[in-house]
Amino acid sequence: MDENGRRLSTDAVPHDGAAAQEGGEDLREPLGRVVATERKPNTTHEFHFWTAVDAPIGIGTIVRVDGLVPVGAHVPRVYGVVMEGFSYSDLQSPLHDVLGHDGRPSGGPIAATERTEIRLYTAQVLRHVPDEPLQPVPLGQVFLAEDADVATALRMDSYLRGDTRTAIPVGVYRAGGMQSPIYVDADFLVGPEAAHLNISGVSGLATKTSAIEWLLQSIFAHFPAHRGTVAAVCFNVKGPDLCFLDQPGRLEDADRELYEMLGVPAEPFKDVRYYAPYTARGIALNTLRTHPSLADDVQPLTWGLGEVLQFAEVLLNKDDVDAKADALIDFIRERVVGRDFEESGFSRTHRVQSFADLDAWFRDVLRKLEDSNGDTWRTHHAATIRKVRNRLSNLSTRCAGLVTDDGVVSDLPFGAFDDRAVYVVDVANVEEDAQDLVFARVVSKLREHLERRDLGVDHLIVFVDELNKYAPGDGPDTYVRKMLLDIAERGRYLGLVLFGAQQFRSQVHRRVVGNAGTNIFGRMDADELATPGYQVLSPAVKARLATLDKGQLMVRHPHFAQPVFVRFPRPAVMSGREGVERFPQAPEPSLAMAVARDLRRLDRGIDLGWVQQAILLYDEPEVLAARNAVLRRRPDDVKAVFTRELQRRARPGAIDAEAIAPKPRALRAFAPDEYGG
Amino acid sequence: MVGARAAGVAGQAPPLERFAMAGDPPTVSACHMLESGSARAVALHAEPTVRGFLDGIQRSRVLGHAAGTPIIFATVAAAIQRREARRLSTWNVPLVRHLVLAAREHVGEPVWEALEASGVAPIDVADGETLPLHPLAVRARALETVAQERETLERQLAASWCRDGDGWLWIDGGISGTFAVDEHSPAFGVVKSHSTLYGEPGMLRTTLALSVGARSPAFLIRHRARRAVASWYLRLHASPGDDPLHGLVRIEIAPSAALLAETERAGFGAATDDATALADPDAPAVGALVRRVDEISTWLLAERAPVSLPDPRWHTLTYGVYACEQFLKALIGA
Repeated sequence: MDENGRRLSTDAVPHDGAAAQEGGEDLREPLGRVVATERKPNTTHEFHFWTAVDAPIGIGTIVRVDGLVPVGAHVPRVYGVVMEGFSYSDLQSPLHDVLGHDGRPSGGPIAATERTEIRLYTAQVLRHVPDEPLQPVPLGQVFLAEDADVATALRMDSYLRGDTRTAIPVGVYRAGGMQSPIYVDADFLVGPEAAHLNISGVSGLATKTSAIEWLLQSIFAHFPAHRGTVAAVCFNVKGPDLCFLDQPGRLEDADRELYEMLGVPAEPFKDVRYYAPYTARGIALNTLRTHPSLADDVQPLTWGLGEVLQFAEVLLNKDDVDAKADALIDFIRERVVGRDFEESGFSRTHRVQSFADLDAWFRDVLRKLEDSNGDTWRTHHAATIRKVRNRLSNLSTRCAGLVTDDGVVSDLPFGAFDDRAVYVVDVANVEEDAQDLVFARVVSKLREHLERRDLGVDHLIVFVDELNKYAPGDGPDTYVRKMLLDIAERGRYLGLVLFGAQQFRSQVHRRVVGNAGTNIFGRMDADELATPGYQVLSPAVKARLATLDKGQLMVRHPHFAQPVFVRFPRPAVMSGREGVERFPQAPEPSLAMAVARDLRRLDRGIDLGWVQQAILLYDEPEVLAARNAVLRRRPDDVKAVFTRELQRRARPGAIDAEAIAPKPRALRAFAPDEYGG
Repeated sequence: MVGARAAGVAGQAPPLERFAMAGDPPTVSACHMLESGSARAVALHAEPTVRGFLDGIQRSRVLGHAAGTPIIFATVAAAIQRREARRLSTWNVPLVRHLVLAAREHVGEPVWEALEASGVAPIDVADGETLPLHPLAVRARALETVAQERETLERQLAASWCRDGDGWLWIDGGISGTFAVDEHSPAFGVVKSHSTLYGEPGMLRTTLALSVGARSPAFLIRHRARRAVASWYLRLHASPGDDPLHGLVRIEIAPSAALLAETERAGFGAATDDATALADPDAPAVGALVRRVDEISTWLLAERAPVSLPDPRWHTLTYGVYACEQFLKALIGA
C-alpha cells in the first residue's frame, strides 16, 4: 500500500504514467477528456473519451468523469467502464503511409516525428451521481477510478458499510498500477434477494474449479453471522478436481497478498467431508481419494431400496414406466416397502427393506398369479408386474456400488450439516444413471430439509460442474434437469443455492443460467462468444474474454451495471492434478482391509488382523453382506455383531430356502409378449 | 454583435481567406550569388536535429455590414510545436488574438463608437488612407492587416524561441520580416510557395531541374523594406510529371554581419538587380555560410518523413509544421 492507503500493484508494467502515479498525487490528474460529436454523441449509458497514448487505460478499466457544469447545484459525476477502444492517426488512407515509406515497410526515410495518434475509448456508464436528473454524460475530465470510486461505481457502497455489511470478496480489479477489492453482495449471491452463480470458461485452465473453490473460501470467511450459517455440497463429476480440498495448495507471494488484501485466510478448507459409492465389487470406494493417508476420511455413499424407490423416476424412463407401471410402483412404495405385507397364498409375511426382499416379494406375487391361473393381481396385470420387477431389480445392477441389494444406507448427514463445512460427493467414476440418481436424491433431500428448516444450516450451496450435461438447453426433459430448474427458480427462497459451471453456457437451459444472479466468465471459446447470448458484449470485451489469463475473470452481478474484470488468487487448496501426484491412488484393498477400514468407522479398535481372522472361513459375498448389515445397524459391539452376521449368513437363509423349495407348476404359461419386453 | 458572441456569429460565415488570399503575381527576382557552380547533392542526416516548428494561422469572417461596408472579425494565432523524443507538444503558450476590423470612415462614427463600446477595440483598416467605398477593397485591406497581425505573433514567438528555446527552430515562411532572427539565432525559415523565384535564367534552370536531395547554390536576397537573407533552394521530394515546383522549398537564414560586409566589398549594392555577382568563395564568412547551408539542408531532408498527407502541400509541408497548423486550427476552431 502507498502512504494514502491505496494498494499498488506489484506486477504493474513500469511506464511513465504508472511511475508518476506511484508518487500518489498524480492519480488525481485527469487521464482523459470526454469528447462528443454529432456523429458520435454521448448518451445516458455510453460516452467517449480520449487519453494520452501512454495512459494506463484499457478494456475493463473503470473511470470517473467529473462534469464541468453544475446541474441542480451538483456537479455531475459519472462512473464508467471501458468497453471499446479505438486508435488512429492523422492519416486518411493507409496509402499515405505507403507513400511516406516509399512502399517499403523497413525502408524509406526514418520518421523524424511520430504521427499524431489518438486513443479513443468508449465506456459504458456504471453509475450517475446524482442519479437524477438522468442526463447524457457531460463533457469533462476523466480520471482513473480509485478505491472509493470503484466502490461507488459498482454500488458496493450499499453493502460494504456498517453492521449490515454483506460483502463477499470476489477478486481485485487492477488498473494503472493500482488494485481495488471487488465485492459481491451475499444477499444477491446466496439469497434471498437473488441467488445462484454460474461460471463459464474453456476447459483445461482449471479456472472454473479454482474460481469456485476460491469463492467458497471467500464466502466461508465473509458470510455475515447475521445472515445465518452456510455450507456447501460439491458434486465431483470429473477426475480428482475436488478430492483434495482439505490439503494446502501451492501459493505464490502475489496470491498471499491477494488473500491478505481480501481478508480471506490462505489455507485449505477446515471441514471437508467426502462421500463416494463403492465400486461395483463393493469392496473399495469408487474415488481417486484412496491414498492410505486420506482414505479414512471418505464415507461410503450407499442407498437401499427405500432411498432409491422414491427416485425411481430418475432411472426409469417414460418408455419403461407407463401409467400402469407407475401405479404398481406407487403401490409398492406405499404399501409394501418398510411394512409387514401379508396376503393369503404368499409363502410368508414380507417385510421389504432391500432389493433382495423386494425380489422375494415379487416371486411370491408371481407364484400366486400362476397358482391362481389369473392375469391380474390386485388390478395389476401380470405383464406389468413382471416388467416392474425386471426394471426395479435391474436398478441395483445398474447402480452397483451405490445401491445395495441388502438395503444398507450410508448417507450425507441430512439434518446435521455443519456451518462452513464442505460435503464433497464424488461421483466422477460412477455410471451416468447412478450420477443422476445421486444428484436427484441428494438435492431433493437438501430441499426437503431446508423447507423444514432442519438441515443444520440456513444456506446451502450446491456446486454442479458440467451443467450443459445435466441441464442442457435441448434434449429430453430429464428428472435431473427439472430438479436443477426447480433450484434455479425457487431455491433462493429456501436457501438452496446453485453454483453451476460449464464450458458452453449457450448449451445450458436458459432458465438455469437466466436465474443465476451472478455470472462469471473465464477465458471463453471464440465460437461460444459468437452465439447470441453474448451479443450484449462489445467486440473488445469478447476479444479480452477470449484471451483472459488463468486467474482472471469477468464478473456480472446484480449491483454492477456492467461486467467487471477481476483477478483472483489461486485457491489455497491442492489441485486435483497435484493431489493425485502427491497422494497416488492406492491399489484396490484386499477384502479384509476394506472391511477393516469400514468397521473402524464404527469402532476404532478394530484392526486388520482381527478382521482377517474373522472372515477366514467365509466367502466374499457373505463378508460384504455381514459388513453391510453392521454398517446399517451401527451396533455398539461391532465385533460381536459382525461375527454373528457372518455366522448367520453362512447358514441358508429364507431366500435361499425359497430358491431350493419345489415350486408348483404354472397351469397356464405366459406368452413372451405379455411380459412387456 | 461584437464581443463574446462575435466568434460564434462569425463562425457561421466562410472564412475570407478562402476567397481573397490571392497570391502575388509570378515574378522572377534578382539576387546575389554567394556560391558558384551548379546543383549540389546534400548529405543525408539520419538524426532529426530541428527542435521546434513555428506556424501561424488566421481566420477572418464578415460579421455584418454597416452603411454598405463590411465589419470583419478575425482571429490570428501562432504556436510552436516542440519535439522531444520524436513526439510533438506545444511549446510555451500559443499566442491568440481576436480582431474586429472596419473602415472607420465608411461605417461612420456612431457605429464605430458602438464597436468600441462592445469591448473589443476595432482596427481601422484605412489607417489614415482613403479607401474606395468598395466592400471588396475593405475586405482586401482587412486581410492584409490580419496577415500583418499574424506575422506579428509569429515574430513574437520566434523571438521568444530564439531567447529561450533549446534547439533549432523551423519557421514556416520567410524570415526577412523577422529581425528577432539574427545571425546568432537557431532558426531558419522555409518558404513553400514560389510566386517569386530568385536567380538569373541560368541559375533558375538549375533550380527548377534540381533532383531529389539536391540544393541550389546559396544566394543573398536584399529586400528594400525588409532585411537581407541568405537563401537557397532544396528539392525534398521527387517531381511527378516533371513539375519543377513539386517538393521544392526555399530556405532563408539570417546572414552574418561579416557576410554582409563581404558582399558589400564584392560590390553588391544595397538593392540591385545584378544577379550574377559572386561573393569571394574563399572569404571566411562565405565558407561559414556554405557550411551552415549544407548543414541545414541535411536537417530538412531528415524531416521528409513522416509525410504530411493528406495535406495537398505535403511535398513541401513538413510534418512538424503540419501538426502545428492542425493544433492551431483546433485551437481557434478553424
